[in-house]
Amino acid sequence: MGWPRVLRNWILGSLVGVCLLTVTSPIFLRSYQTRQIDPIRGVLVLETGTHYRWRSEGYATTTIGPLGMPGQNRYRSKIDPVPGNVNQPADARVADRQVILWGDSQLEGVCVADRDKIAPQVLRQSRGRINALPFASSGDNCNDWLFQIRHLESLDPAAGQTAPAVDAHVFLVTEISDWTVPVERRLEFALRPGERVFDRVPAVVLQAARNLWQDPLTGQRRRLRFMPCWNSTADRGELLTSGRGDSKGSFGERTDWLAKQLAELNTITKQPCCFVYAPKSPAIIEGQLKSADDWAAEFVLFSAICDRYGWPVVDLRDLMQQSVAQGAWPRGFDNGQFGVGHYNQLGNQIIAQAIVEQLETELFSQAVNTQAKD
Amino acid sequence: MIFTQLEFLLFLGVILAATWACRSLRQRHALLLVASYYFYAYWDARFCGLLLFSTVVDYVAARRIASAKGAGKRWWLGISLGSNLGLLGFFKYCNFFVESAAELLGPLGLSTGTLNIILPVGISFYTFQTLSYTLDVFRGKLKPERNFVTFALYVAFFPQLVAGPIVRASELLPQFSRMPTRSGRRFYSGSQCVLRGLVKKVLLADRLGEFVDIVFAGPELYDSTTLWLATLAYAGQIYYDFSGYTDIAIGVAKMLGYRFPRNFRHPYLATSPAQFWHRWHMTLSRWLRDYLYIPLGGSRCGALRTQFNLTLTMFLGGLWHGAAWHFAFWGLWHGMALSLGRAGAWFRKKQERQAAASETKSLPAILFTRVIGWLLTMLVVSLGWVLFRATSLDQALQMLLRMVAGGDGIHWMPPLVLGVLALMVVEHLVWATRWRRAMRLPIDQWYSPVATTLLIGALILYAPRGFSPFVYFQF
Repeated sequence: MGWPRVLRNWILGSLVGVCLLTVTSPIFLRSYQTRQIDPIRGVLVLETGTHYRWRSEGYATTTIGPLGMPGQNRYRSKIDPVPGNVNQPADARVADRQVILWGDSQLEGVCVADRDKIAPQVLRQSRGRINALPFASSGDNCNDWLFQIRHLESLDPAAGQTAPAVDAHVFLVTEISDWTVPVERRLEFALRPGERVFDRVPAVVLQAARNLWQDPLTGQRRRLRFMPCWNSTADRGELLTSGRGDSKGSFGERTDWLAKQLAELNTITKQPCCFVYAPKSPAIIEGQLKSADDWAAEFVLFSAICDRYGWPVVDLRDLMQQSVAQGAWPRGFDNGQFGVGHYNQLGNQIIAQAIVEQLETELFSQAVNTQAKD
Repeated sequence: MIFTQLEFLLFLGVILAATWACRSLRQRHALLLVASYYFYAYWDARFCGLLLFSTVVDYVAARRIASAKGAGKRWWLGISLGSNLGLLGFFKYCNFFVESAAELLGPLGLSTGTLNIILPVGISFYTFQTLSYTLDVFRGKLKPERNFVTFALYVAFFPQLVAGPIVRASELLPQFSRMPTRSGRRFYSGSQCVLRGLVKKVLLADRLGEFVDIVFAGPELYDSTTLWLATLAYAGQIYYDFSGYTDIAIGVAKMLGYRFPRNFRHPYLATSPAQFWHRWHMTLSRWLRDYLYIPLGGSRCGALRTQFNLTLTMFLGGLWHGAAWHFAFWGLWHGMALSLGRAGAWFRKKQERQAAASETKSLPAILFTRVIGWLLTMLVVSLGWVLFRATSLDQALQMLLRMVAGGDGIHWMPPLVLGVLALMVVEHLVWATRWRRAMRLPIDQWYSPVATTLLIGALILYAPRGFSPFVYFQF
């Protein structure tokens, strides 16, 4: 075969190869999507009706519902006279209670199928009586949640801004550190530079660029090193320590911030609040089963403050440990690792069950009693 | 510098361009030598001195061996062996002996100090390489190299410096004596070899390694099925890791115009332990055979002595891999397997002779023997990998016990790992069924550009995040 023909074959073959990579990439690659400001929540969310692929840990595709809710396509607004009456599926129509679930990526649950996420499980386990709205996004902390609650409370129905009906706020606390941060009342939400490109460039190109651009160890911009090394052990030590994420502030500072954040929550909403504590334990760390909760001391204080405000706190540590003792891990996936990472279908089920029990036995029954007294 | 780093690919590009620009052999060798020392200094420049010391000692010793007569030869050989093995012993085994002594003396209330000695990367490989050089000169099989730069390049040549293949002076020095001819096809073939190695390392070995590392970090947490899967996954990981490294080394050498010996020939197709060692880390196997097993007497001194020689050779081979008891036991395990395999071969031959005499030997019988042989070999090799991968002998024995006796725990069957193992089986079958040419992606075949693009794309898109050095770097 002559060189011109070889060259032609290689150009055509490379194009075929690129096409094959692009066509098969959705099986293996996560999606990249531009977020937009949701006027009701006041924060950046994924666009309604889009499908968000997640391809690590559990492989799942999440349908983004209204208000940027992952895996939830129904909600009742404040002006709806009958719960769920507007073109909603039958199971949503009977939901007479609606709560907002606040949390981070654990609640967002992009690594499990939509039906296994916490909100749909709450609806199922309550036999359709409680509709849960997952207002969660990866990396969120209490400042994001309090900002949104404040925003929801400030919406003016007369101006056409209809907030969802809220019977209670439920906070999933997987890391108390999400509450031990200084209070920030004004959050600025803006697209990251270049995020608009997500809409125009295929995920396969974005992923390739990201892998080439980012350092696989640190996730920061890749820096090439060409200088010889004079002490490999020191270099390695630096690498090992650079990845440690220590919590911010001293114990005193953290508890101070925690108290202020909960006080802030008490100020901005009069709706019932409920907390579900499901820390990342038991965990498998470096081959060892670790059952102790590193944040136990902070949790005692957290519970005490919540108690002062009359907010129930459900502690799921024992349930999670019982589940692990029976050989069923609430965190981890076959594709990733058990005992670390995000809650799986079972973990979500345990959390959803706890939420339903808490709401039905305490929060809503108290509300019914109060109404009856009134 | 590690072959899978972006820096290496850029470094390689510069070196290839520069070597093409070289007009004389002297320039080329000087350039490659500087590049090789830079490559080594990238990891830790302090140990370049060690490499240089070893080079100087063997250069001088070999020349003296060649010119000396009688006892002088032995004396210079002694200097070479002493300095090489002394350095290897100090850097690689000092910690081991001190710790073993501490464990032994601990119960008696005696304590030893501890040493924190860093193992210079590649020391086991270049030590064996230089040893083979002086031994070959001593035996009169090789003439000493006159040019110091050429000899230094042989010792430090970057494609094979840190993890082999262990190239003998008789293989590489003659290639250094002439200017390599430029060949587009050879360059292409070398680059395909590099690509194949990168795919093996990054997409297969590292993926398997993620699972293996987790399970081996806490084997008591997992059930026996998971432990067996982890063992098989490690068999895949170490094979793709090491053969991937070798492919890249061979490919880079080829692109530069040199030829390295093969190091792997699909070892998991072996039907006996002896065959396994003819297919696994072939350059180490022949080194051990030529410089250890045969000088010990080989198979020339009776059956019992042969078994002893085999076991001792493999025991030392195990210790070469790492200064720890689990490596020594891994070597012993293979030594015993080779001894038993040898006895089995004797029986098999006897049976075959009888069958041939009675004309009852049939194809199914041969196939049956081979399948049984393959299964037993895989069992021996896989169980051996537990000893090899474990962090200690204790951990290895506990894990083996759980695997054999059964144990409860997390049942974990990662689809990705099962997929990679299935791919490994397919790859071996393709090779066994002699579709080997297609796997080399010849330049003039229609499927080569498609496959090449897919592999490069997969490397960029699907490489695991994190940094995994080659397994054999620790040796």
